[in-house]
Amino acid sequence: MTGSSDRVKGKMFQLVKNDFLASARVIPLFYLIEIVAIAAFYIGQKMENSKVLIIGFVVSLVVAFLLVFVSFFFVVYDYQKSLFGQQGYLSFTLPVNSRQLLGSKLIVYGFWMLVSFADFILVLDLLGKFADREYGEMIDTASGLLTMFADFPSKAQIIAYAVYFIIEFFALVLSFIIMIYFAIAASHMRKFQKANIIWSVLIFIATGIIYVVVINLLEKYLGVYLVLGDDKSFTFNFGDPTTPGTQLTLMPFLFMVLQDVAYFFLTAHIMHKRINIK
Amino acid sequence: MEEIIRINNLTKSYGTNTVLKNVSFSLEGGQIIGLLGPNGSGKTSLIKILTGLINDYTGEVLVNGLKPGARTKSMVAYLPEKTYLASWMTADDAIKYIADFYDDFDLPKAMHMLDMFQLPHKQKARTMSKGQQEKLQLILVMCRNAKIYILDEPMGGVDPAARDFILDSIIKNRPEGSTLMMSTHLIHDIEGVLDSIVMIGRGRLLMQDSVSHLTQSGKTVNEVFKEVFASDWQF
Repeated sequence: MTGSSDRVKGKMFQLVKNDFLASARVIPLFYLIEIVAIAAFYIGQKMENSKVLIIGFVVSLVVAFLLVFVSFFFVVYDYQKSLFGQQGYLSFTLPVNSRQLLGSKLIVYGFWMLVSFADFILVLDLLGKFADREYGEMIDTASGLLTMFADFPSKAQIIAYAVYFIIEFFALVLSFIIMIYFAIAASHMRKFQKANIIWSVLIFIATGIIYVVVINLLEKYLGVYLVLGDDKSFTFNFGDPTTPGTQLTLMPFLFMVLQDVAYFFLTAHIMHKRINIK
Repeated sequence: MEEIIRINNLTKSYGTNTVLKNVSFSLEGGQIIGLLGPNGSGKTSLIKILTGLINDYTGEVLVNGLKPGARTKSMVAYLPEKTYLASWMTADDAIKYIADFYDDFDLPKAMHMLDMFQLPHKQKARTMSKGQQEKLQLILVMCRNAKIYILDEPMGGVDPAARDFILDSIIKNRPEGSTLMMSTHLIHDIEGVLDSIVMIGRGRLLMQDSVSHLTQSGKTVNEVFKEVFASDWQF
């Protein structure tokens, strides 16, 4: 029994690997185009060839923008097709459970979404620096963003703030994906199956509204803040946003994490109990 | 022989439509079992429950002593009616994919069968003919050394000339001691290889018997089937 159970657990790696391989058939092509465009941009700069430079500039910017949408498209497309289309006969009979199926999709498409955002910021930074240097245009670059830390009293606070921001952004992306997955899974339940596309959009909007309302209520009535003091100290503040020092609101983040966990298990439950692949 | 499948009071409904009503039976392992019934009798729902595709039912279902789930899926090789291959998969991709998940998959045998069936290794599944896709799916199932094989209408979309070839491939490639359950309404084509039958009609278990016992009176399984369902449709 233990051996069999271990083998089932061990299949998570295979799931992630195969989901990654399936997604890697299209998405990397865009990154390849982007690398070529950035290379053209640099070559254009070196050779002082404005045509090559402009083409590289425009293509890299457009592709960086497109990549965010392409990644989002695959989040929806692959989940829908590989689990709720006829391919579901293959996916749902693999020796794994629905939490593993869902977890694998989250890991793979969370990765692609984050990479696309990181890529977008880096390309903007790169092009922004160039525009700033060549034309004196003020564009918000990643390095420009650092000026917002100028008033922070210590490096430790800057690091704490940056870590907070990155973790919150990461959680937000995962939250966004799990809400989409929940909406798609719920829309394939028998009650909604006939008009599942419309239902998935409506359910997604409803989850978004619930999220915004709860976050606002929590911030208003149950504020918990991490206060970065001037003397490198970190304290928690419950409900008083006027305390001096840099305050990072924690409740939305905590709610987001709890909501993600709840949606994860709810979606896995729907996939396990409420779906009948046609 | 050990009991491989046990079903007690199984009921499955889709909304107000009950497709399986208090079905109970058990099956011993090592046999070739025909799951027989006309279209819409509940065969596919029963198979989906046994393979863990449907989990919202009432009653008890045990496969090799376990509730259908991740562990039973590793012992069951399932051939659905539908084509389930991903559009990006070539025959080689599909074989490697299955080999990755099932420790009992025989990769060299699959590659050999691919050549034997004259299927192109590098052709994408979406560009294959329906017959080629069905052959490929059959390879994916029969190259596993599974404990249980569940095949849903394996000859449903196959022309009569190819049926014998498909059936022969299934029987030859089935490991000794394994259980093979085939659902079909084409009884005449498979009755020669069956050890026992389970007949389902309108969601109810109508008959479960060994073929040797059933045919003692000189009737064929096909004739018994016609008798059972003729009376079933009378009320």
